[in-house]
Amino acid sequence: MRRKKLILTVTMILVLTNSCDEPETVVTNFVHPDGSVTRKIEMKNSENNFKISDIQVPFDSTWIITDTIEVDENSDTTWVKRAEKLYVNVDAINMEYRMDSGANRNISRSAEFSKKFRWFNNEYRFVERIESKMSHGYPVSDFLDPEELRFYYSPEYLKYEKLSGPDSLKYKQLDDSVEKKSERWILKNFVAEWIEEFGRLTRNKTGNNMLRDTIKKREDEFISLVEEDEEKFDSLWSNGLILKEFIGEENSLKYSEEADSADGIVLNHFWIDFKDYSMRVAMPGKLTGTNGFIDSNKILLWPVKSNFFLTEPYEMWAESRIPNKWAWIVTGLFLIFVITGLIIRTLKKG
Amino acid sequence: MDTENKKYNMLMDMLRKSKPDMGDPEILSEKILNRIRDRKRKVISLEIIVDYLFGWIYIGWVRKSLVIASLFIVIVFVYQQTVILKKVNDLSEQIVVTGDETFAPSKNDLDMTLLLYKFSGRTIPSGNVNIPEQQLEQLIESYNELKERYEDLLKLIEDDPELKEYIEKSLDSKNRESNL
Repeated sequence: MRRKKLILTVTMILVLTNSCDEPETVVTNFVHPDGSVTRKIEMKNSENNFKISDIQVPFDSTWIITDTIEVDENSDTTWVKRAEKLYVNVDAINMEYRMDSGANRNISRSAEFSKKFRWFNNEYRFVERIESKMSHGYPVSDFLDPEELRFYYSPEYLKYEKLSGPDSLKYKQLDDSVEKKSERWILKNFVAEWIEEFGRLTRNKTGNNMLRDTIKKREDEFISLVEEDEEKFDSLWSNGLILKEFIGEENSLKYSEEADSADGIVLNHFWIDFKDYSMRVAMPGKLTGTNGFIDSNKILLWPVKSNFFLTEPYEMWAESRIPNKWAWIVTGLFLIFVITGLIIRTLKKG
Repeated sequence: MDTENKKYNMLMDMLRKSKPDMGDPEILSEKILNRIRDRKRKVISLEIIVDYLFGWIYIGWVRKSLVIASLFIVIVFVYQQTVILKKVNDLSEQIVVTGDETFAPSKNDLDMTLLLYKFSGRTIPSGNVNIPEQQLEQLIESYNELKERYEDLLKLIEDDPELKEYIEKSLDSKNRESNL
């Protein structure tokens, strides 16, 4: 009910904002043994409306582009734009990330590739990393247990499958629990970030961290107050009552400007201008490890959403191996040689 | 026929009586001796090769080093294979997805957005704010659901005069309180 009220309040504002039919995007990295990467982008849209500014990863005229139209059994048309580019190594990808002027230009991203010679095998590791936006937040793993975390990071259609599958009741409970805990996580991050920003701004005037430390000590109390008086939060804040409760009347009047400025700064940290997408990676050889989801073609999948890198870096990693056949042959011959020598010695002794 | 038989028998007698011509018996004996020597040489050269290749078996420290190296290789091999096997087993427990991998925003994403909106003083930062169509649809759906329930509630009140009277009275008293 509370959520619905909020939805009603915000609906009109959201309707007035720019609502556009954005394409659904999947970015696939095909990693080769020499460290080069073929990157493919697939964008699907119900309209032939693709803007370069909508593309989630760096894009320029050097990409090979193909356009297709798919019509399903209900005669619904889907416009599909595919683009492909070969990067000689991850440095080329990183350079484009640094110079990105696309939809997600405000996010710091990087790719890593390593190849390790392990005699019997060559081991490969590929990582796509997104740096965190906040400096003082809490990791989501402090709030969710491993099962909830797995659910939290799941692709949406997988969640949907579980919520409408045979164990739907169990997953609905899990979904509710994740929702409730992640709300608290967001709130706690907001408060933690605000305290730090407020502390930073007041330090310039007071020359010490006294105000910051005072509120930080009562952080949980602050959060409880916000949660309990959710409906009155606006008026309590604007009247300076919350601040007064924690730092006293005199200080609350003296530093009300800093409190509002800190609120604005924190708000900018939270409103991340980011277009979500799905990332896929295909590794060379046999897959040995990953933190992603595996599809039927042994291609790995991660949803990329702004919440995932709010308080800690979001790493999408995969490991694989390719056996060194020559090393196996050399090792086999060496072992035969040593064993034969030992047999000859035994025979001669006998 | 008799004549032919006689000739045959004579020829056979001559052959039987004639002894094989040795030619040079020394050369023959030399050849036989050489053959025996060659056989011995071959055996000796094989032994030389074996000794050359496996001479290390007589040198203690080389023998020990090669045995240690072999054991090390075997240990490395077993360790690597165990680690790989464990990783692959862990991997098999990970979720395999089969659906459409394209991104779709979730209900929780919307909740997060709303929560942020609420705690940010009901303000949206300047700049271009894009709301994905799915989120917008969810919002409209929720709004419609709420509207429907509100209409149901109104109908329920309309249909029940007692309830209507009670609510009207309550609203009146509340209005009076707020005016005071």
